Order: sequence, then C-alpha cells, then structure tokens
Amino acid sequence: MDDDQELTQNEQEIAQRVRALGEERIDWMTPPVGLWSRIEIDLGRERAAADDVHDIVGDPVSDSAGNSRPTPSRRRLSRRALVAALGGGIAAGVAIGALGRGALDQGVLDQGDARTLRTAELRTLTTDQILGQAILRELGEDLYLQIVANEPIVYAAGIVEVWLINLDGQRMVSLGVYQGEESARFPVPPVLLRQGFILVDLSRELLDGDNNHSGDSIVRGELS
Amino acid sequence: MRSVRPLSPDASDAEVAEGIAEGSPEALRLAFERWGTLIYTVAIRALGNAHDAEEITQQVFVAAWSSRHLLRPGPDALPRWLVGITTNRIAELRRSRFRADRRTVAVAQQLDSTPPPGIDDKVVNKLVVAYELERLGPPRSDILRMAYGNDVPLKEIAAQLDMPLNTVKSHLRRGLAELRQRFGGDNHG
Repeated sequence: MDDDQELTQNEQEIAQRVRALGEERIDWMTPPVGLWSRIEIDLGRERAAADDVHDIVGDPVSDSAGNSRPTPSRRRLSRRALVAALGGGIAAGVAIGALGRGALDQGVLDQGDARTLRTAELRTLTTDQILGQAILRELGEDLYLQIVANEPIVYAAGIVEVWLINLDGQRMVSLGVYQGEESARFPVPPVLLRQGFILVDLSRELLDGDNNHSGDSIVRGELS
Repeated sequence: MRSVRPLSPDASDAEVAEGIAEGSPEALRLAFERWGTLIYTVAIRALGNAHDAEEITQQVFVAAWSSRHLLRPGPDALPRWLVGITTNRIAELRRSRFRADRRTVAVAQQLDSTPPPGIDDKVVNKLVVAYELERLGPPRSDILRMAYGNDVPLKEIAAQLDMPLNTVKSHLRRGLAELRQRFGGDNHG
C-alpha cells in the first residue's frame, strides 16, 4: 500500500501486526457473571491472612489508605509472641513429609518450570543471621517447599525437622526431616497455606519418640 | 509511602498497573473488567471448554494479585503480564492433564512420549493485538482494520467514513502509536 511509505519504522512494525490479523473478527467470550465474585473470595482469604500477620507483628506495613504492600524483608513475627506460644502446650506435629517425598522425586519435576509462589529468609532466632531460604514452588498440581541452605543447618545429636507453623503460634505441622542438603524439597498440602501455616521453622529434634516440636528452633522465616 | 489514588474507570492502563502494584483491589477489578475477556478467550481457545477457562481465569487474577510486587508498572505492563501468567497456567494444566491421562493408559500400549503441544505463542499474540485494537474503539479501530485488515486505500476510508483524508491519516498514526505503547514495541508474532 502506497500510504505505508509515509509511516515510520516503528509504525510499520505495528501496522504489520495488525495486517497479520487478516480479516478475521474474533469471537470474544466474556467470563460468566459471578467469576469476579469468586476471585474476590480468594483475594479475601489472602488479605485475611495478611491482616493476621499485621495483628501479630504490630506494625503494619501499609500506606495511609490501609492498603498493604508486601515487603518480605520487614515482615517478621514477634519472637517473644511465638516463644511464649511454643513454650505452652505444643500441639503434636505429625510427620507427614516422608510419605509424599518419594513421588515428587521421581524425576518428573523439572525445577526450571516450577513457579515460585512465596519465599522466606531463614534467620536464626537470637542473632538474626540468615542461614538459607525457603521457597514455595508450584509445578502443575504439585506444591512443594524448597529449603536452600547457604550455611550448614545440622544437629549432631539428632535430626533437623522442618515445620510449618500457623500464624496463631499454636498449631504446626511437620513436613519432614531436613538432612543437611544444599537443596531439599518437601511436598506441601495446599490446605496448610490456606489455613495460615506459613511460618517455616527448622528445629533440633532428639530421636526420643516425642513428636512434638522441641522448642529449639534453629531458624525461622515467614513465607511472603 | 504514597497513598493509593482512587481510580476512575477512565484510568490509563499505566495507572491501573500502578494501582495493582500498590495493592489496590479496585485496580485489580478494573484490570479484570478491561482484560478479563481477553484472558478468558485465550483460555477457552487453548483448552476448549468453559469450565477450564473459568478455572484458569480465576487463577490468573488471584495469582496476579499474589505476585503483584513483581509487577513493574508501565503502559505496556498489562496485559502482557496477565497473558504471561495465563499461558503458564494453561501449560501447567495441560501438562498435569497429560500426565494424568498417561497414568490411566495400559502399559501394554505404545505410548506417544512427546508432551502435548504448548500454547501457540503466535496465536496468543494475535489475540492480544486484536483485543487491543478493539479497545481503541471507533473510529480508530475501524480505520486500522479497514486499512490493514481489508487493504482499503485511505482515500476510500475517508470517503466511507465521511472524514477528511488528513483526519483519517491522523487517526491511523495515533492508533498505531497507541498500540505501540500497549505492546511495548515487541517484535514477535
């Protein structure tokens, strides 16, 4: 078309893409009524979890309009609140990690395609030193927590156990035993995340037959 | 920290993107109103059924919200970001379906070990172009379609739309410029 000669290079690029559409008119499908409500419900659940964190931490990271912006490095649970909670009646944590782990590691997972959903820096409780990261990943239907250690996380007298602690500081579930690898993966049932079990904790555990959390945490981090 | 400005329905695409990055649920809703149809249509074409498309669309906007801190606002940020999430989700759904199907097939049968074809990026890009073209609205969308879709000479477009030729040319260039902004000048598709 002669008129094209007047167009700049950039304009011609776009014109080309419009031309590639041809004469086809697309039949646009609108999402059904009610789909947005379903999205809002899911958003509501997320924001409720975020609000819980703000209640516990005490200093919400938000702007004047009350909207919060995630800043993972600043959102940390009050250690005093948690230690107090753990010191009292600790709910028994049932080890579930061992069951699912084999299935995931059958070479089906290609970590390169896995999506990162949440991360947490794993910090020591007293010195606030970062020993590693916890990364929540999704690949298809599989949801797993990847523990990456920058420094050795070990316990010679027993084992290191990985927990997901609930924001209420009371309930927790064990994901399994961390064996000191540079990178380890633990399957996570999505229900745990929906229910607010988002505090990753690695603890020293003696092999004494007591399944409860010893209270002796090496590192902790909140998934955000 | 800056306060979140209330968004009007006329907010620019860049403002909507910024709103989402700042954590405004209202901005996400606006994004849904603007691009929900694009996402849903891409999903239906890729997956072939409404149920899956609804599921994907829902997941996309929830995922967009969860990872909003990763969104870098700009005039071309949306829908590219949304479509990126969409194609990821569709690919994952297909992969998991494929794996599930394979598990149910008898071992004795000859299995085709190649994975299902991924989303055709060219098709998705075409849908995005077509969608943004529609969003320009008349008269620009009509002019661009006539000029490039149907190869109608500008003089004839001017005659058909009862507009001065210069006005048509101006609409054409402005339309192309607007589209360029929305695509960020990418060269694929």
